[in-house]
Amino acid sequence: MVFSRVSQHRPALRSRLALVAALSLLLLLPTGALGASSGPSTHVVISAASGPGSVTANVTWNGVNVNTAGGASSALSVDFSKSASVVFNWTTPTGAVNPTDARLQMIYFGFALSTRDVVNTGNTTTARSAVMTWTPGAIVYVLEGVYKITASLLTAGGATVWSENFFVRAAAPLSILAVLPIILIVLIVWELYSVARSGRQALLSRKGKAPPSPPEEPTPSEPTAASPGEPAPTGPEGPP
Amino acid sequence: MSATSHGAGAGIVLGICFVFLGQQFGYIDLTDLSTAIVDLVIAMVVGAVIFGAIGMALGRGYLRRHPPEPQEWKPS
Repeated sequence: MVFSRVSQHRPALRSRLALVAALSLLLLLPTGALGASSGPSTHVVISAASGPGSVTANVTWNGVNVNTAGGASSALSVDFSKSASVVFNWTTPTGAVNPTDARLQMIYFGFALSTRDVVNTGNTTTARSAVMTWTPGAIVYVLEGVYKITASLLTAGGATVWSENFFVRAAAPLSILAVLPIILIVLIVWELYSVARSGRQALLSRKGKAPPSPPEEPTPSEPTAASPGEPAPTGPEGPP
Repeated sequence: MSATSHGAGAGIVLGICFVFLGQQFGYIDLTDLSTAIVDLVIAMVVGAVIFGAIGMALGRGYLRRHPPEPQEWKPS
């Protein structure tokens, strides 16, 4: 039938859903794969410090104490294209296990996007400080925005004895020249154009459904029985 | 696909895009998974409602300006 315009716009919906799925994959999988490489130990600065109580520590990011950036609104402005000097200083109570691993984890969607470690391979009982040179890796070309970073101190057994969260705000060149914002802006423009054209969808939808009923034609009455002049229908057995 | 559903579908995509773009520009925090999912769902629903209404209005306006012609029935 000429009226069967059967869902020719269904592929548009599928392509849109595929685009969303591809965007999600771009957000979650590749960036995690790019940034998840954990760098081995760089170097550890040994310093003498001691104090009673639990493990206390402070972390500085390019000389700024990270406890001043405890919220997204007070995030540290960082440049992803340059490395940052992160210094851990801690004190360990007498008799407690001294941490041997200083770690930074960049958190996105609840998952660690990037992990950096400084492992003390020297004197593990007297080390009270660690210096890390942090670089975001390949994600500098992909992402910008506000991210939570968790700084933590771990023992040799992997137990976390201290941790602190802080936020950093990374800006791409010209505030927009990262892959993800460009893709998002192109997608938004395309979808707004699609919405602006949605009026035509109404006409196509109207044409596609409810075909008009065929015209009523006078049909000759069907012969229900054989006419007297016509031969009677033969049975299945046929003539002998 | 009607104009309303067409607009609603575009609104869902736009809601997701606006949330991610807000995070990229530093206005939205998506570090926690649960709050990020809540933000995305809210944005999808709001986008679907708003752009579904816009699509419906655009569709009605288009049909008012371009009324569909009656079609003849043709046997195949």
